[in-house]
Amino acid sequence: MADLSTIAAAPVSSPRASSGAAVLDVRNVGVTYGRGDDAVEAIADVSFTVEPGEFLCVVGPSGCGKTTLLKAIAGLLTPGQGEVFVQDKRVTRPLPGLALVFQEYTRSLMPWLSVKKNVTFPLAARGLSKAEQESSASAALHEVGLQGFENKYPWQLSGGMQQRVAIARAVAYQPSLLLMDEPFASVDAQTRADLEDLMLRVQEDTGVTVLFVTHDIDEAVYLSRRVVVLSGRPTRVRAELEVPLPYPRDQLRTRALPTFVELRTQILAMIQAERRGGVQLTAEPELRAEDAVDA
Amino acid sequence: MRGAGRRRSQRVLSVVEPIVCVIIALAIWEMLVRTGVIYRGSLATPTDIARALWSDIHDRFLWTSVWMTMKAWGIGMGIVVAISIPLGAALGLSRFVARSSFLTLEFFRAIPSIAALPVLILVYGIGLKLTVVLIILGGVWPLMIQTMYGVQDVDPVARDTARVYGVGTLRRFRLVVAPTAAPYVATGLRLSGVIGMILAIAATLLIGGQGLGAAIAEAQQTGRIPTMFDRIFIAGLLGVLVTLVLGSIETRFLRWHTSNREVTTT
Repeated sequence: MADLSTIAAAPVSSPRASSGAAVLDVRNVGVTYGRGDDAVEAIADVSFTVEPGEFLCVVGPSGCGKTTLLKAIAGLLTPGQGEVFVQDKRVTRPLPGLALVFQEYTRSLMPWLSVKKNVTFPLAARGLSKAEQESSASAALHEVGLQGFENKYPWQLSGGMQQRVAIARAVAYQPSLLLMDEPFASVDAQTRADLEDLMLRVQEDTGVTVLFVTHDIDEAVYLSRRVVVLSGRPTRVRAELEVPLPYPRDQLRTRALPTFVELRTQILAMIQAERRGGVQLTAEPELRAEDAVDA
Repeated sequence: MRGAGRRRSQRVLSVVEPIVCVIIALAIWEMLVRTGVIYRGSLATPTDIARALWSDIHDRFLWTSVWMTMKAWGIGMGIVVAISIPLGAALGLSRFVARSSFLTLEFFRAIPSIAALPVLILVYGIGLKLTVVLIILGGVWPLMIQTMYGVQDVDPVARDTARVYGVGTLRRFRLVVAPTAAPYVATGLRLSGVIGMILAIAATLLIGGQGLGAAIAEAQQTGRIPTMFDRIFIAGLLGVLVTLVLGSIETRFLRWHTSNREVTTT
């Protein structure tokens, strides 16, 4: 691996440097769209924290306001209620030190910039010199396996490779918190598995704190140390689960472990119950767990 | 190999086909006039026009006229660019500017610039200045409106990406907004350029002065019909030239744009 030591050792960005305090603290966040009779309560009351160096996944039924929540954390949207703190600073606008990887890589990468320029273009805001930007970008591109593609344009690459450029951009930025909004939802299954393993490796190499939003329960369990399960609209935190799966994780072995199967079944049961209106919430998980093990 | 050969022969065919078509059309035209189906006094034959063109291009008068038209167009377009791009960008960036000026702009846009000619003659007299003003009045709109749409078309995801990564306003404009608007600006420039050329020729055709339009009028008034046609032909060439030059600038600067991409792997 190239010069990743430089990335991990950066004082502001290294999550280990600020150990103890949460990197992200979401307190009673609520978001309502519209006013009066047309008002739609997207998020009712969501609270959770992300610890330094953690890989936290947020899952929830589709349409539960996952993207809205991420926007509130990123400072792109001000929640009507509650507060978001990133490294003890209240978020009212996009704070420095946050990186965001979107699902729509074709739209978040600039087609008029080369791969390298796409990675370096936010780095000036980080106060890096030209030389530091270059080395940071090439280290990050190396990390995601895209060395040699620096001078290509995003549209000359496959979908999976484009999303790796977006990941490289986030890694080179040396964020205190990396937000990922369903980043692998629009690539094929094989590429998706590759990108999941890539993210696990990147997180291990750089120690970056990751908040990963997905609707894919298997992906959430496979990637994270902790999973926050959201309810349907209006959204609340349905459950917070530890994921005691051993590292390094492996697409075949990890996914075959009983703990993995139990966890995914438990979460799936919760989400299905949520989608049906969430009445018999407590009885459901056990039942579902047995079904899945039999199958 | 076979595919390459076929591609080459297709390319040759795509050049040959239109040429053959033009030759046939010219031949029919020549015959219709010579056989008297069309009165020779109102429509010259292609060979007459070619002969007139040959002597015309050795005449200083033609070139002075062409130069005056090009000059008016160049100055006019320079001012059009200087007005339309900043104004269009302001309209696209600020909802307040767009809303407050919408009515005024739509009103002025609806007036054909030729209709303002009587007033303009009173104000500017007959000459280069008048032609330039006419070009500006007609040419500012397409470029301004295109620039406005281009600036408004910034992808929300791209904008959010730049905002989250803390990219400053100026840099964001240069790296996100301007490239997004560029294809629209290029289209606007081509539209404005062609309108500007039409007006540059129409101005002197209608009111006299020095220019290609005046040269066409002069040939018509002195009854030199083939000369009139050769000058109309040159006016057409100028229009084509404008489109070609602006088009080639467009493909050079917008290499990344979907319509210009050479390699695409998905």
